[in-house]
Amino acid sequence: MKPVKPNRVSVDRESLIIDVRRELDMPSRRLFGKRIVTLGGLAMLTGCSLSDDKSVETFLTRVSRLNDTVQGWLFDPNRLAPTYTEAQITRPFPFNAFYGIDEVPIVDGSDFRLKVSGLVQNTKTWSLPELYALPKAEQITRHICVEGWSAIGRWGGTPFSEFLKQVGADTSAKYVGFRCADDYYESIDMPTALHSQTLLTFTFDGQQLPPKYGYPMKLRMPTKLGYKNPKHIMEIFVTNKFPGGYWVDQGYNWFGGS
Amino acid sequence: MIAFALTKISFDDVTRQISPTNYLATNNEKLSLEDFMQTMNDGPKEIVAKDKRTSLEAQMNATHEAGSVSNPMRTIQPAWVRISHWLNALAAILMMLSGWRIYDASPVFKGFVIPTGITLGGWLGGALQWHFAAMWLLFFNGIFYLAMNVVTGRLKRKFFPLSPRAILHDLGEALKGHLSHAELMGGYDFARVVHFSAMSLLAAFIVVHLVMVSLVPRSLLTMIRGR
Repeated sequence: MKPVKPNRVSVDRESLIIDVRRELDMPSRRLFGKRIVTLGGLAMLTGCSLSDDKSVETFLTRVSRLNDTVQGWLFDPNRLAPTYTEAQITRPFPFNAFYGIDEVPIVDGSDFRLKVSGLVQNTKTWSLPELYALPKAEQITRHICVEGWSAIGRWGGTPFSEFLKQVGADTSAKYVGFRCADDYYESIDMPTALHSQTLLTFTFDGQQLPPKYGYPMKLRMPTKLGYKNPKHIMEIFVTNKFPGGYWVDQGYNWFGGS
Repeated sequence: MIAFALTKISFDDVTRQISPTNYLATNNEKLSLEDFMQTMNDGPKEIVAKDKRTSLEAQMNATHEAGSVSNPMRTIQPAWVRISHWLNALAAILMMLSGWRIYDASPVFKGFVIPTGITLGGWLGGALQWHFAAMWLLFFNGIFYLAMNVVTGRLKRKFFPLSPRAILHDLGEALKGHLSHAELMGGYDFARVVHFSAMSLLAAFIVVHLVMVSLVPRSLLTMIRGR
């Protein structure tokens, strides 16, 4: 191998002269530039607030609704969320709601009747034994919270598409809405309602759904974020009028999934 | 692949504009580092004197052979690259500030939270709205950047190994949602760590370039007006 020549750094003289001359002409500008990028200069920026402006809020909400539309386009009804093994289940599975665990609503199952309304052929109410008699399905999937944490759980119930078929729902309608015993409310798009992994669940980990996880029933959608999965469902309705949701009306994205 | 391509593109653009390579090794009239230091020490008079010694013709030749980089009136980067760069910077900063708020809702690293005073969005829901609005700025700006690169032939000149077809293929896959987090990054939780690490690299990138700009403020002017 040849010995490496010492690398002499060469300079484009003209560029250098032009720059040096310019800098020397304007020392104050140079100093100003330097001072802007100081900690003090940057700290002043923290006083700026864009979030409070009403028009900004309106704009961001509009973009979020636009994102709902795009997510609707991207949604593939045949694409399945990942499933997991029994050993991967998160134990204990975390409790999460907009209230504390001691405020979980207690629903009496013996005289419980699920209401069905809106664009359906049959608005008869459903008792729990009637619901339990529907075709069975089970899944071990990951519940992903909008906050960023996630937990794997095992839910059992009936395919929601089967329930919608039973009540003669107009599946060309846009939304399915839910009203819950804890004053939570939520709504989803029809394609997700008909997705094969969307289950109306009555059990958790092989046991009757405990109150903290949403007794008497929870809609489980592994394709959507946690807040989209309503618990303690008392009424289900089909509609073309955008029903919003508890968190959605405060700013969370409505589609909230993939 | 797109992520890598964009990283390369942005690195390339920024370093081209503000690195000392604009001065170095492009001229037939070479100066050693010692000469350079000497020039700096001599002050403006000496420079002018040296400058006068060079004939106008020699200067012109030197300028042309340097790929016209040294001509102060010549635009180093076209306007669309500059516009695209600054929109990119805006989108990256908005996504970073709002992303910090999102991070704080459930910190990846226990005990490490970002002071809410320097975050954007006010709360998780607001931060998510900012994040996914700035995403579109980044997205459409990226499309604009790639399209202009292809149309002007800049892509071929500068990023030869990347073919437009490969980029469009990946873009299509991403749009169809086939490049899911789980597939790409080995699990949801790990994807969060990757996401955070990428943000940290980007933040470090910005800090380093702010320092560079504060050392050579003229480069900022060049990046805005092109010369």
